[in-house]
Amino acid sequence: MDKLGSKTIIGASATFTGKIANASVVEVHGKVNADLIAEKVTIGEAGRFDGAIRADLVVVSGHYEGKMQAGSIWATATASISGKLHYETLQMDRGAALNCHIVHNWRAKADDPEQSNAGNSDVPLPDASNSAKTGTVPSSSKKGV
Amino acid sequence: MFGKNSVSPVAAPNHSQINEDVRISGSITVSQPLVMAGQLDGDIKAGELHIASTAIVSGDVTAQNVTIDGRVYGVIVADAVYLSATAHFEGQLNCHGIAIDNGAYVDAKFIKETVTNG
Repeated sequence: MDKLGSKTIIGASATFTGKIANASVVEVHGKVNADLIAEKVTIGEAGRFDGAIRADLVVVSGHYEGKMQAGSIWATATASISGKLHYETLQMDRGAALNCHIVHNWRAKADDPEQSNAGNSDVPLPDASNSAKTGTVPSSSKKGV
Repeated sequence: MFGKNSVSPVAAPNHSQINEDVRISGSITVSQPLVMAGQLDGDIKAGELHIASTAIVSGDVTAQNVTIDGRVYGVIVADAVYLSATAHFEGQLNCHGIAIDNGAYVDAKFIKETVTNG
């Protein structure tokens, strides 16, 4: 499949709805309403993406709306972004329109994404303490034996 | 355009392609050529459609011209269908013209149709 290169392209005339997984490089020039997991995502000037993206690098020149989790985000001058961005590095060109919630270093702060947005950290903590207790009980019983 | 600091990093191509490692569930509608090489669980509507040898498509395919090298399970509605030697097709085929290469696996119901509007 050399003639394809390693890219997945949603062309200018294309409309896609659904889920995309396991993609390496994705270019969006059409309309996409989807959840996408990829390595590199490019949303072209005419592209429009609604939905969640998880990627190492996202270049946005078109319109994006949704929750993005990316290592690097580059919003070019024609970008228009709304929703939520979780990033490690962010580049924004003059003219880019960002109307969104932006969070830095999401990986370090919240490995578990539910922990950060829910705010009820009570739920995971008892589990952790329980597992800690169950972890200590056998060791103490071993000591006793 | 050249003087601009931030030229769009990519030129917009008209065709679409889905790479071979990609898994998709959902539907794709394209008016320009589409090359499908990945796995799709869902429907395709396209003008010119090439289902590559690595592709596995489960769902309905509507197109004007379809070239199939890969696997398709479902209903194909098309003007012209070409099933190459590596093709594997199970389902129903509503089309005007068919070409099937020697070696293609076809287990399908054929329905002759007058030219569809694609």
